[in-house]
Amino acid sequence: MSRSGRVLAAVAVCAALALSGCDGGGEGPTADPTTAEPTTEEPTSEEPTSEAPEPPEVESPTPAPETQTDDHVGAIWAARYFLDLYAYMRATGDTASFEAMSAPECQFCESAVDNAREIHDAGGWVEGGGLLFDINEATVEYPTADEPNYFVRFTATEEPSVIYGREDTPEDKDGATFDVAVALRVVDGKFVVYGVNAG
Amino acid sequence: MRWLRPGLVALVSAGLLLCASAASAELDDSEFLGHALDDAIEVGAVSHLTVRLPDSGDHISPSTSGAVVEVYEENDVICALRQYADEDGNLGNEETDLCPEDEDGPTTADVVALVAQEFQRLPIAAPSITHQPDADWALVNMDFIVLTDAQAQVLETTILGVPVAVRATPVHYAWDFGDGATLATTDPGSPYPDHTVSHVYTSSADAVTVTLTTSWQGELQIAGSGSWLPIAGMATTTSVADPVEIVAMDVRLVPNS
Repeated sequence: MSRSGRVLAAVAVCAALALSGCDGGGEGPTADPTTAEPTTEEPTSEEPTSEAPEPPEVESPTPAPETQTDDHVGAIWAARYFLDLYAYMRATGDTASFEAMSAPECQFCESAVDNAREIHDAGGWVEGGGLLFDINEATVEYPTADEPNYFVRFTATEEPSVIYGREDTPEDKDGATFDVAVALRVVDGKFVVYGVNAG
Repeated sequence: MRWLRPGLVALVSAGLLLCASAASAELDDSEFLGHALDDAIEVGAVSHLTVRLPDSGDHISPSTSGAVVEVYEENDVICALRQYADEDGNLGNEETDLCPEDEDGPTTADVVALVAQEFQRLPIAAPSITHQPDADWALVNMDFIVLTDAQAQVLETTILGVPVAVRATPVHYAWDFGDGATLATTDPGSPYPDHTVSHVYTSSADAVTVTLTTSWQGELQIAGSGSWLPIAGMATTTSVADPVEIVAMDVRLVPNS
């Protein structure tokens, strides 16, 4: 679609929204978030009562579109998404997406899930600790007849992190750098991690 | 494996892999994230068949080129080319069988680029396409199964006048089903009933042409002996199947007579 085409489409959508707003007389106020019903809940009254840290809200990571493709590009982006899920799981205790991307054979995955559960079951959470790597520097080996996995290798930087709740005082953890290898393959159209090693 | 504590190494080396995850809770956090690791996976190993994000037939990342240059230098590729040529009497420096630097000769990076170009020009045989049903027509809304017989090939060519063997290994298959649908996979496919790659046509068509683009990784062996060395980038071949008519099956209920 050309740029002018997009503009026209946007105008058309706006017009449609405006029109639909006009005929919705009997439905009650719902649509426009800027004029939504006034909320009088004021959380400020709770703030001063406690100095105890609260877990920050963390958004669930979304996979890059490239992870849909069964090739070396997809494998690298899938490895990156897996590491994003790792940090998300430790921050929120929501292990579902991480587990969905973990094969039963993956010992690292099982261990990481256990560890996240242990922290969250104790009422704690993790802040920071993201694992970053340069996707352009990651190397990939394609699967072969003998080895069904892609191997994605990269140098990852672990951000400093704080583990809350497991001890009386939060545990500070320094960042570090690791050489990481992730084995993964496509199962039912999605990349699944079969193992992680670091050295 | 310097990040592992000796205790875990001992556990793993004793074959008690199952205990590793149980022990992870005790691991020091300065280790890799404090988790059990899948030790069978090699870390930092640079295979000859390694690619990076921008690598394709058209574009080779500088880091891949750099890595291949390193491998070529470790293996004295230019020296091997020159020495071989000396023995053959065609090329190279006949005054010495050592490998002196030749200021006028190609650099290792030149050779890496030359080999990559040569690889992409090689007449790699395009694999054949098999489809099931094996006919010139197929049904709408039924699985149309495709597979290919792509296998590694060894081709002979010359680099700087020196005969070399090039091994091309198929690693990736991009299918175009002719109706706008595409599928990219590392799976060459299998025949019915264990089929793994298939497509469902949702409307009839007079003729669809299924096309397969196969990506090949390459390795090089100088003068028929020695180790296989990497080739930067990938080559592609295109296979085209005979046109297939996609037929909508009309179902008519008729009264029993």
